[in-house]
Amino acid sequence: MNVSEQGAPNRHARFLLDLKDGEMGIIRANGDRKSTEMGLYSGARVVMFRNRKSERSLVIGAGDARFLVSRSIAQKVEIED
Amino acid sequence: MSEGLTVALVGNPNTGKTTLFNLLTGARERTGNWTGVTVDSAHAQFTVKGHTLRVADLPGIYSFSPNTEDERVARNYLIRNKPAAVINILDASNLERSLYLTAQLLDMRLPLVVALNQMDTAERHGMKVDPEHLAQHLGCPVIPMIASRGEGLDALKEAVLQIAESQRLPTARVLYGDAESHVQRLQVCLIVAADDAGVDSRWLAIKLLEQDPFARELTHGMFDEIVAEENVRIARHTGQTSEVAVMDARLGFIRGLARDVVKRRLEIRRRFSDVADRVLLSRPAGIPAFLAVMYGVFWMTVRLTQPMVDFIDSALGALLVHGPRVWLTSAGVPALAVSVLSDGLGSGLTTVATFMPPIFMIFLCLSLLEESGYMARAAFIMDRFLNKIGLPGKAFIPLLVGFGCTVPALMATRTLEQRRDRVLTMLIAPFMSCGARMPVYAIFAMAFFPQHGNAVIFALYMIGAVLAILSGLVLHKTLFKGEVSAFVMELPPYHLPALRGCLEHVWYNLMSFLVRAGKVILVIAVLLSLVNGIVETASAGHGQAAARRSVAGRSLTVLLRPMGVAEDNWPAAAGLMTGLMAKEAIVGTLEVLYAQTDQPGLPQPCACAFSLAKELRGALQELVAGYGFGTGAKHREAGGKGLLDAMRRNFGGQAEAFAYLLFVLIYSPCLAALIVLGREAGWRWMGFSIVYQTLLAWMVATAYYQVATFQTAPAQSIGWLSVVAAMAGGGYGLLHMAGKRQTP
Repeated sequence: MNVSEQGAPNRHARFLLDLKDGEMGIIRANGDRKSTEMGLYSGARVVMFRNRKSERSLVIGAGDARFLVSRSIAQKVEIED
Repeated sequence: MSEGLTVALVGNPNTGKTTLFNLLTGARERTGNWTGVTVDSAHAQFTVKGHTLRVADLPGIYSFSPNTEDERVARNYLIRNKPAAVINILDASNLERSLYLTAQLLDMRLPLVVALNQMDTAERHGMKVDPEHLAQHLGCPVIPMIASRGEGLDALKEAVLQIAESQRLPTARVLYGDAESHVQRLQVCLIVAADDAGVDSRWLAIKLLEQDPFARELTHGMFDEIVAEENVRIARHTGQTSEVAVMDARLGFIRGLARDVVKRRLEIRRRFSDVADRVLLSRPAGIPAFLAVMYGVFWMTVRLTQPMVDFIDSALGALLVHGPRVWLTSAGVPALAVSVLSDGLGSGLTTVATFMPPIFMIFLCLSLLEESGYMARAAFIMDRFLNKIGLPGKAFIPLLVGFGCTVPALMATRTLEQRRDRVLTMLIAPFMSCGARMPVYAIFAMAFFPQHGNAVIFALYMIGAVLAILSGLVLHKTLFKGEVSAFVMELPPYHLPALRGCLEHVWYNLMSFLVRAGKVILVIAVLLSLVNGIVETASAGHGQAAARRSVAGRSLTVLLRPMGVAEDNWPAAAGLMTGLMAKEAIVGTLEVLYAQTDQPGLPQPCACAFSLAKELRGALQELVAGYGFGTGAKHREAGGKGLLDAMRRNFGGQAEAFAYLLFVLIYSPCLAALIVLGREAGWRWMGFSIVYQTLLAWMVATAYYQVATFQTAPAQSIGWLSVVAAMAGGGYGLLHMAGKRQTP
């Protein structure tokens, strides 16, 4: 279990922001404290419900909860390949 | 023995915390299907086995890290008040997430009882949660519950009593993996300091390693060097900062615990809410749906309640104002007593009663929006618009609450993480027309815009919203520069609001609102009528009293002349002054003062001309007509008397009336809102709000009036419009300069 630190992003890593509508993933690391505490921690399964480039927030599911997540936070949430 | 013991209720938002509080205590706290309903602690009592315990409902939070004001409120309460027991309510269907707070409570070493709520939802979602196993792991009582049905309540009460009396601490501790030895080493150094601060030394060590400013405050920064040394060691040992290492270990503890006590399938199921969100959050359907919902709220609040307001005004006006005036005068009661009883007390009570329908409806609408889960979606819809003024979409919720009352709107900003966002939202929230301004709009609409009253009121609501956005833009470009902060917000599932619960909460809120506002209005109405009565009595006749008022009027209204308030219309200026106490007081003030000032021109009350039965019948016919049945008697219009006529005489025309309404909409928030603003944002921002809003109100009202009456006196209008333009330019310049020097 790892909470990644905010540093230079890994070029080859996939982030929450990269998931398309309906796509699922498991969080590998999350560099944002608040969202981690709310349930987006490493190992949590997430599904993307709404990801539009024109919108500043994404709609995701994590377990039985649904969240609005700013794109800038989604950029810090790394997803397992 | 347990008398006077206090227990605290702590949990994530949307776990049924406030429902449990109401169930325990029989209170009528508001619940809401969105984060931040409880933004301050509420207190009530419950009895178990003959013992009375006091319970504090703390804000719904996700952690005790001081990210937001509500998290700080909850954490500080526990540290400073040391409750006899803490009830930690967990959502069984989201156990892993709920346990983050539990792990932090274990660190705090407080007597703990876990209420494992929403067991039915967990089961419905295919999860099996084992409460006994969880209790073994945590070393404290775990009570399975379905709070919405009252299941598990008795067991919870007994467990709370037992823990509160015995002060038994949970046996479990979170071990911090690679950071554990560092926690222990630091803990040893902190024993005396922790004792002095009245906190657990291990908790203090953990918080210092998490770089918590509150923990540093408790130790007066005396251990900075030691903490820094441990940070370096942890970084060397784990390759992580101490903050991340501690958080990682805590998450490891939680995952292990959840794995042991929850058996569930892994897939994330699509729910009805997900399907509904595909439509309601999409651009083509989402924005029209949002506008339709907002118009629905407006329609219910204004159109649906207007006939009821008219009815109450006419019926109670006859029963409490006109009737008593006639009867008391006929009975030979002194004029001063008649004035105080009918124009003071009677008018005040009538005014308060007329607020009931629109305020009931606005609270009902807000309650339905909260309970249904739509309010959080509205934040998503508004996100892109609020971003333009530098705010996250989450800030929309306090703004929407502002349509009910500015005070809870200001409190609701506590859920925003950044202070910059909080202060900016607090400064623009008062532009949203609160329920208290509705009676003022309604009475002016009736007097001056009988055919287009709804359109005028809707326009005022829209102007308020537009001014909030424009002010936001100006403040974002001057005092509140910077990027829009990122946010995470939970979207609660949609569900049908429980109407009974909604109505109970609305009634509770309505009553507290009316009591709060009613006291101010009644006192002001009685005082004003008393002062007027004394002036009348002291003066040789109406002529002398009128002369005195005229002198006072000139000095009061001189500043309002450019926005169309005539010199003799001093009650309008007095109304704005009393409106600072509570906006609703404006109507009451006008009613009392016009009744006094217009007496010379009105026929003296005569018992033969007044018939209570006729007045009430007329009011009833008006009510029936208002809802589209019957032809309508236009009772008050036919009578050609009362407040409406007095307003028409004193204001003159539509331009003057609308300019006055614009001023009422924009000028300084009421006293209660100002106090909350000062407390939450600081007294400097409170002062800013008074000056900014009042100047803006004058500028907008003056600009409107001068444009509307341009043809009457073009040169004068050009002059005043130039003054407004200069003030706007100068004001922007000042804000720009101030913005360069300071960061809020």
